[in-house]
Amino acid sequence: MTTLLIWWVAIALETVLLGRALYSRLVGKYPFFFLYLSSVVICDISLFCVSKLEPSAYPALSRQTEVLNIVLGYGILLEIFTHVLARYPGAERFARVAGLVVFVLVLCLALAYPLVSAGAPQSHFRYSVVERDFLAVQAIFLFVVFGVISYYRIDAGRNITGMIIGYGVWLGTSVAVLALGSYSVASFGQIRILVQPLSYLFSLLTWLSALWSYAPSSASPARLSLRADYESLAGSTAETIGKMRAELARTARL
Amino acid sequence: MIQLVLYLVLGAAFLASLYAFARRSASAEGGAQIILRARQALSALQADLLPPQVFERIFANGDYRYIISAGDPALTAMFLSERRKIALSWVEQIRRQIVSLREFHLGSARLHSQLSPRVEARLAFEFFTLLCVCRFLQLALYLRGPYAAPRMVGRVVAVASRVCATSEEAMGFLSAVKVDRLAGKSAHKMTAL
Repeated sequence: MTTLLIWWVAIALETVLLGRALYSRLVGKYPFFFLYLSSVVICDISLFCVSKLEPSAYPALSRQTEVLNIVLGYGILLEIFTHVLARYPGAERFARVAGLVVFVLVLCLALAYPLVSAGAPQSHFRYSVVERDFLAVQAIFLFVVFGVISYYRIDAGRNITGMIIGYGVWLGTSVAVLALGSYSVASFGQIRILVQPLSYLFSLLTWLSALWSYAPSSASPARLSLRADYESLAGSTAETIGKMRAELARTARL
Repeated sequence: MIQLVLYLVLGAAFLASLYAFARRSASAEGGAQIILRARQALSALQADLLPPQVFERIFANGDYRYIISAGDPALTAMFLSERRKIALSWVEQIRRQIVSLREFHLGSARLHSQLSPRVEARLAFEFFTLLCVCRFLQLALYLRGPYAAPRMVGRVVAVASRVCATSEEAMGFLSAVKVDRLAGKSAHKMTAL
């Protein structure tokens, strides 16, 4: 009964969010995010109908739609790159390279892990493992992007901040819950049934509040005519730090 | 089991970083503000914190000798305690100004499309270690008192002066006229608010 109620509330909130986005023309501003949300709404309604009309087809369809939505969830990363980092070429480049490094590391780990692990997971946990790994990679990517945005003190704006927080809460919770699931914790079923949908409801409420109207990040800072280019800026900063470190290290030894 | 712990740690770390992200202040946003603050940091360092008469006054041995000559242990203890507070506050001010100068570097670097991630990563590490060293100096002053390490103070002053010189060069494009204009804009905005 609780699950059904959460399901209905989620569909209602998603519909309100989409309706509001169409009305305030946010769909055109954040196409990847609303593509993801539209897919979630369609999947939710379809799954609800299937669960009533053809319950035996529900598990397979549920897995397929979840994979689709996980892939479309990467659209949120695209929105961040398009709306936040694109205004700061330096920070964007840093995030891109760091993301690539993380991707290569994750890929190496994924290739190496089967060689050292005890064996393939049991068949009924395999799906949870794949879903968990997909979400974990997404979490790592977002982690890197948070780092870059915070380090360079970039204002993401209310819309994108809400988008990130809403999705992030669901993502972090899902990774933890699926980790418990893939380790065959006895009460996993109960935890997942309640915690994941509740975190998703929280995400929807956050999105509804943050995406009620268009609120982009503050205007790009004026591009002052810097006399020195990046190389000289970084060079002079590095030189200064090097001198300071050497002096302070010598001082500390005194 | 290790795998489970790793994923749980990842989930928890991610949620913690999300919380930090939600609570972060975006007040450093805006090129003009960063440059103004960096400029103010430079002025504070050059005019208020680093001139010899300031730190020589704070760490003057003459005062200490005079208090000792009075022969009152309670008075000496109180004097040392007060002087330590002033010295710690002085180092803290220097540390804060260095943070402002770092913000200036970040504010400028994020706009450069030629930014080198490797160089930035190295600079981030070096700024971090530098600020840690400042903390170490504060600890040394706290533990050993303001008169225990006069050479250390001299070194800090010398290094901070060099930072000022380099930063001033990096901010050379910002003439006094532009600073006044930016300051005027900020003041006007504040009045409007």
